[in-house]
Amino acid sequence: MLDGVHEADFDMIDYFIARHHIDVAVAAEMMAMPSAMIARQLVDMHVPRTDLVKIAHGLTPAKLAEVVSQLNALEITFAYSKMRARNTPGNQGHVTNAKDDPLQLAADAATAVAFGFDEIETTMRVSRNAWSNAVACAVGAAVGRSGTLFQCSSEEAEELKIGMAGFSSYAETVSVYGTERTFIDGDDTPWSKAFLAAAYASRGIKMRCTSGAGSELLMGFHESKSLLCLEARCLCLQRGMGVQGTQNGGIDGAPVTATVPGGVKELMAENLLAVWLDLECASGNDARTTESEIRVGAKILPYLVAGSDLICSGFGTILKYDNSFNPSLLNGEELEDFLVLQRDFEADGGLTPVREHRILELRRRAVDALAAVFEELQLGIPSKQMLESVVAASGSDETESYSPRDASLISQAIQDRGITVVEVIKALLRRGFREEAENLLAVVKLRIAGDYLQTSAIVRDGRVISAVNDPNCYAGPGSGYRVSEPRRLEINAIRDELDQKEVLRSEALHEAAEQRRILYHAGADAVVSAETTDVVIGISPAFGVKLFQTVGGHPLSQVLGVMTDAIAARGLKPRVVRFKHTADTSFLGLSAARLAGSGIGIGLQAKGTAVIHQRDRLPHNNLELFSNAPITQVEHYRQLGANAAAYALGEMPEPVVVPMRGQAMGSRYHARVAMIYAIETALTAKDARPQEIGVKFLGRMHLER
Amino acid sequence: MSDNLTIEDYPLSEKRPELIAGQRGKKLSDITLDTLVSGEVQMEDLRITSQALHYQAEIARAAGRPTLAENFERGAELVGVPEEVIMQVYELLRPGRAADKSVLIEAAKLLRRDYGAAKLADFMEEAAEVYERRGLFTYRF
Repeated sequence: MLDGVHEADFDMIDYFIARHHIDVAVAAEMMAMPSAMIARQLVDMHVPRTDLVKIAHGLTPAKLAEVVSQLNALEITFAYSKMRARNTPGNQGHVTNAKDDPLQLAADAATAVAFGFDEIETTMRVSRNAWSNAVACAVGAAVGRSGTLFQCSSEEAEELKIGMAGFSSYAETVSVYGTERTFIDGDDTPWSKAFLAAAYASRGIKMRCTSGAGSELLMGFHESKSLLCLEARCLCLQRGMGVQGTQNGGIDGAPVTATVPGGVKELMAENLLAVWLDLECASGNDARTTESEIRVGAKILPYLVAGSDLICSGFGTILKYDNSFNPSLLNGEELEDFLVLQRDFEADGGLTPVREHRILELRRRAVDALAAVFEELQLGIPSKQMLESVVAASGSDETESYSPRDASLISQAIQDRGITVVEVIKALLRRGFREEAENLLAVVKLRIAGDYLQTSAIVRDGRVISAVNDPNCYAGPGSGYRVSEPRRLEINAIRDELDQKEVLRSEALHEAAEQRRILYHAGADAVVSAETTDVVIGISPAFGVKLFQTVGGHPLSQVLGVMTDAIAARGLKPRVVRFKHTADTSFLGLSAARLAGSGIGIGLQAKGTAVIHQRDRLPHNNLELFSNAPITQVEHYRQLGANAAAYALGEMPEPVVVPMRGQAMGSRYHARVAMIYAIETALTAKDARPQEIGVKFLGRMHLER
Repeated sequence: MSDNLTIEDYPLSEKRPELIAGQRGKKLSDITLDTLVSGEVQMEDLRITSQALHYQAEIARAAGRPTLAENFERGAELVGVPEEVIMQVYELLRPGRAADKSVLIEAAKLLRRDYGAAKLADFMEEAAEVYERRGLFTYRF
C-alpha cells in the first residue's frame, strides 16, 4: 500500500518508489510519526540533519508533502538551510547567445568562470550547433581557472556523446515527472531514465535529474494531485534511480506555478523536499517567473541567505536576449545587483566581484584560445575584427562574428571528424595556451577517479568538495556555513565603491575650473556689524578650499554669485564670512545672523545645503531651509538670497519650496554626503574665529571687500 | 576487497591516488600534458573504470547513500559496453519501443551474457514485468 494505492494497482511510479526508494526497514516507524512532529524537527536545530534524512527515506510522497506543507515560508527557508547537503554554497550560470557564436560563448564562459560560477550550462538556438557550443564553452571555461563543470543541454543521446568526447562534465536535463501519463509523454520511464543515469556514471559524467512543479500541469496529466505531492513523487523516484541530485523548484514550470496563490512558497517547499531526501539541489531560480523587479529580488533572497548547492540552476550570465533557455530570474542585467545583495546580507551566493580590466583580459584570452583551436583543427580562421568585436561586446547585438549557419558548419565538422577533448587540448598547447590546456585536462581527469559523481560535488581551488567531505552539519548559531573573513572581503569588493579619496579626486577635477571663476581672499577676524543693511553669508570650512560644487552639481562660485547678487539687488550689502568652529548648517546660519547688522544670515555648506537664520532664533528653528541639496537648483539659491534680503528689510516673503518628487535622496547621496561632511568637519577647530572673506568673481565686475 | 572504503578515503584522487587508474592502467600522475602530446595518453585513458565506480559505490554506502551506490554499480557494469549498445538498450526501455516483454528479456539476457551486467539485467527484467502490467508495450503512433 502506498498513499492509498494497493500494490496490485501500483502504476509504474508507485512501483518504482516502493521498490527502489522507500527504506522498508524503517517505513512503518517513520510513517507512524505525526506530520506536525516531523515538521517541528525540520526546524529544530537540535535534531541533526542525518536523523531527518533517515526519517524522509521511510516516508511516502504524500506524507513528505504533508509534512512540508505545515511550514511557513520562513520555516521552509530555515529548514532548507539546515538540510541542504553540502556546506559551501555554489551557483550555476547559463552561457548562451542569440547567434550560437562560438567566439562569444568562449568569452562569456571565461567571464562566468571569473565570477565564480561552479557550473555553466549552454544550449543552442539551432540544435545541430551543439558540438560547436560544447567546444567553445569548454575552451572558454578553461581560461582563468580550472574546475568549472560544464554542461551542453541538448537531445539526450547527443548530450551523452558530447560528454563521452570529453567536452562536457555534467548533465542535468534528464527530466522526471510525477504521473505515469506525463512520464510516457516525456517519452521515458523511470527505468529508461535510471538506465541513462547509469550510462552517465559509466562515462564518469556527473548527472542530476530535472523535475519541478507545473510540468505535469503544462503537460496535461496531473491526476488531481497537489503540485507538492507530484514533486515529492518525482524526488522519491530520483533517489530510487540512484541519481545524486536534482534541479527542481519549478524549472520550465516555475512561471505557471508563480501565478498560483502560494506558488512561490510551493517552489521553495519543493527544494526543501529535495535536500531533505539527501539529494543535491540546484534550486531553480531559473526561468524568469515575473517581470517585476521586486518579485525577482524577493524570490532570490531566501535562497541567498539560506545558501544552496547551486542557488540558481541557471543564472543568466549573459544579457536576457542572449539567453537561449529564455530569460532567467537573474541575468547579466541583474548580476551587479546580486553581487550587492551578497554584500548587503553578508551572504555567500557563490559569486565574486571581478574588476572590468580583468574581465577584458580574460575575454581576450578566451577568444584567442578558441581561434587558435579553430585554426589548428582547421575549423575556421576568425578575423581580428571578429575577435575584437566579441571581446568588447556586452551581447550578440554588438558583435560582428559567426552566424548560426557558420556555427552549424563548425559543429558538423567537429562531429564528422570525431574530434575529442584530447585534440583540443593538444591544439591549445601547440599554440602556447599551456595554462588553458592544463585547466581543461584537469577537468577531464576528474572523471577517472569519479570523485565528483558523489552527492553535491563541485570543484573549488582544484579540489572536489561534496556532501561527503564538506557535509552540512548545521546545529545552530556558530555552526554550519559561515562567511569567512577572506571570503567576506571578496564579497565586499563590489565595483564603484566610493571612499573619501574618490570624493576628493572628483572634487579636484572641479578645482581648476573654480579657480578661473572665483577668488577667496581671507581677511581679518569677522566682527558684529552695526550696519542694518548688512546680510552675512556664512560659508563652511571646506567651501572653496577642498570642495568646489554642491551635490546638485552647481559650482560654488555660481551659488555664491546668485545669492550675493540677489541681496545686492535689494540695495543691501552681502558679506561673506567663513566659519571654522562649525560645519553644521543651522549654526553656520545662526552665527552668520549674529554677525549681521540686519540680524539676518545665510548658512551655506559646500555640499549646497543652505539656511536663512535670524539672530534671536533657536539654532534649529530657522526661517528657511534647503535640506535637499541634490535637487536644489541655482534659481532656488537666487530666491533664497532674495528672501534673506526681504527678511532683512522687514518683509515676509513667500518661502522658497524646492519641489521633491519622492527621490530616495538618502540612498542616492548619503554615502557621498557623509564623506563630504567628514571632509568639512576635519577642517573645523573648536575656537577658530570667523573670518571675513573677500570674494572676487573673475570674468565679471563685482564687489570686493 | 576485504576492507571497504570509507568517507575518510574520499576524495580518492587525493587520499587514495594509488587505487586509481585509467582504463589502460595509467595512474593519475602519468596523465600529463606531456604524455598527452607524446601520444602515450589517449582518450581511453581518460575514462573511468568499473573498479573506480565500485570504490565510489563503497564510499556512497559508507556515507549512507545506498541508492546512489547501486547506480554506481549499474554504471560499473556499463563501463565496457559500447556506446551503440547503450543507446540501443536505452531506446528499448523507452515506452512503446519494444513490441512485447520478450524483447526486453532478450536484451537483458544479452547484457548478462556478453557484458556480465547482472544487476542491469535484473533491472531490465523488472521493467519488462511492470511495462507489461501497465500496458506500455503498446505501439505509440
